[in-house]
Amino acid sequence: MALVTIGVFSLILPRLVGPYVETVLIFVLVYSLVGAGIYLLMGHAGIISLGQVGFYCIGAYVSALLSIHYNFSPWIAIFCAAILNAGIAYVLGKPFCRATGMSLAIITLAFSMVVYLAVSRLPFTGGHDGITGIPRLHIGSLRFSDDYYYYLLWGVLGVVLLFTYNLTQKKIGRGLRALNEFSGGDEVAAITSGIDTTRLKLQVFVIAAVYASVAGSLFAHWMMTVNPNFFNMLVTFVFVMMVGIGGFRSIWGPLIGATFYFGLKEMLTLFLEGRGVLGIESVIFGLIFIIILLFLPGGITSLPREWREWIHEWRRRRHESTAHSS
Amino acid sequence: MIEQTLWVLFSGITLGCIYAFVALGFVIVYSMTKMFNLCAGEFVMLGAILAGIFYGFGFPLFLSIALALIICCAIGAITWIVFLHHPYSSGASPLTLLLVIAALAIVSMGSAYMLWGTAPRSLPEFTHLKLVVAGVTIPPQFLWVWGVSALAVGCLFFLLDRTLVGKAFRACSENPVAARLMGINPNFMAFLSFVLAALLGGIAGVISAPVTTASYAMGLGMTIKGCLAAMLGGIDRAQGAIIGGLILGLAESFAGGFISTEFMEAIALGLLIAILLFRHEGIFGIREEKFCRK
Repeated sequence: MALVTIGVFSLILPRLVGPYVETVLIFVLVYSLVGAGIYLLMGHAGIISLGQVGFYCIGAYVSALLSIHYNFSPWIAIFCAAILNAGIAYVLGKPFCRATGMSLAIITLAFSMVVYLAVSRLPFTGGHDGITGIPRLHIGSLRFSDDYYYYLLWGVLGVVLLFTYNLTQKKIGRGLRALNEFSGGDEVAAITSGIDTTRLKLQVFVIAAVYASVAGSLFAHWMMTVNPNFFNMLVTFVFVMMVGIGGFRSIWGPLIGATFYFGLKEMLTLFLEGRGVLGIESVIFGLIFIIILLFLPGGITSLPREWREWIHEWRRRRHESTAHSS
Repeated sequence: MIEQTLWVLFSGITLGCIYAFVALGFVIVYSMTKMFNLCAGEFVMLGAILAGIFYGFGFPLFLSIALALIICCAIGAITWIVFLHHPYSSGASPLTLLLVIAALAIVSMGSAYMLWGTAPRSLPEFTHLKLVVAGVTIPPQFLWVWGVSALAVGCLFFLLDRTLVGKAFRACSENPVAARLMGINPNFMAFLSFVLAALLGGIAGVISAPVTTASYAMGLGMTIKGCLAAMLGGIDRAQGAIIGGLILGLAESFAGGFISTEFMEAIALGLLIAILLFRHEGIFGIREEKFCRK
């Protein structure tokens, strides 16, 4: 029931708020899409991928280049970019899914750095000014406006979340949960039970890369311009941190986390009237993330559950003390 | 041609020394705590910027450097005590710790931006004595980097090998439980390792400040390079870290000298990633069997 109300609310939301807020919402949706991949990776496979921004970036640039220079239809360009990123993810992931997840974290971080450096220096990616004039998505001659984009992104996100949820119910999801420390599993036990952890981890890594790629491509075709600033190293941490704040284990974690991040950013911009938001946003966001990690590891989405448990505990303690004293 | 090669070689070694410092800081923390010290590079930035600031206030060079290093250690200590001591000692999962450290690196970057903005700081060269080898002039700061690196490594190995603290350190990193039985406090050792990594980073920052520009964003790049170098050398081998750092430095320098300065970082990083893809435990690392936990 709650789902339906949220659904209806979000459908009429663009009508209620102005165009500026709609752009922020589109950002939220795009980031949530990347976050869905991180949800799979972290909440289920226990892999910290700090390289999602690399796939996001490649998705955006490849899609842009294909549709500008080679006149690909944007839809096809998005698809091609996704295939490319899947391939890269496979190559990167194969050696490392064997080893601990932590070395994968560093490799993916290095990967995003290499992508950032390449994209800001290569001649055909336009350097620091990036690429402009990327065509919007269109069906026939119907060009997609911001409104259309909003609904399209909701649609894509909905499909992705459904697909992801489905995955977690099937063998792949259960296999992953069995091995992940974050969701109460144990890798060694999983291996002895005959689960091919390497293959599962690799599959999830590739899927998450595809999510990020599609998000990046959609972003490029919406923004109509891409430049390296959108894909710097801070962004990759933001992706992970926002899903963490929302909750790694919940399918709504990415969406809530993204909303939190952009909400915070907008509040800070309002508060500081545009003065140097960059530094303080990182500090506050990072600190909040640390606090959540240490004190509320399930993220915001676990608040209802934690609250209930806390109340139970409190009541139980009160019962005990009165029982003892009587 | 010879001159260019020599120049590239010398730059590479210098760069490699800096990366080796970061890699060492990384390895020291990893071998003690199994945590990936993603803040290693931030202390390089901190050391460089702080020294530049103090020097800008008019303090003599030596004092600026000393103050910068002391503050680096202090910040390392405070960071550990406030953020990492509790999770580490109560046994949080390594993934959680990694995320905390990553967030700390972001906080550090943001704070640096807030405090000091985008203006780069630098220090003057320590001395002005130039050396000429085979027609190539070596900048004096290079000699300082080499000298200080050699001295630092020497001190480090002396510390680990000959002093009681060092032996306690090694004991703790090999087997924390047994060390505890011998009266060594693993949490304190972990704390020391983090502060030591901060100090090494600070030294790297201070000696490289005259030849590079330090700004708030340099920390993350340094961390990544240092981590990759450490992984290349086998993630818990100090000797490997030094060699890994040198290899990365030389790779970057050669890429810059002979291919392109714009892409030298990307090429060097890409090369290291490629090597690690084939042999993910690095050059000196041991292929760990999945069922044998260290």
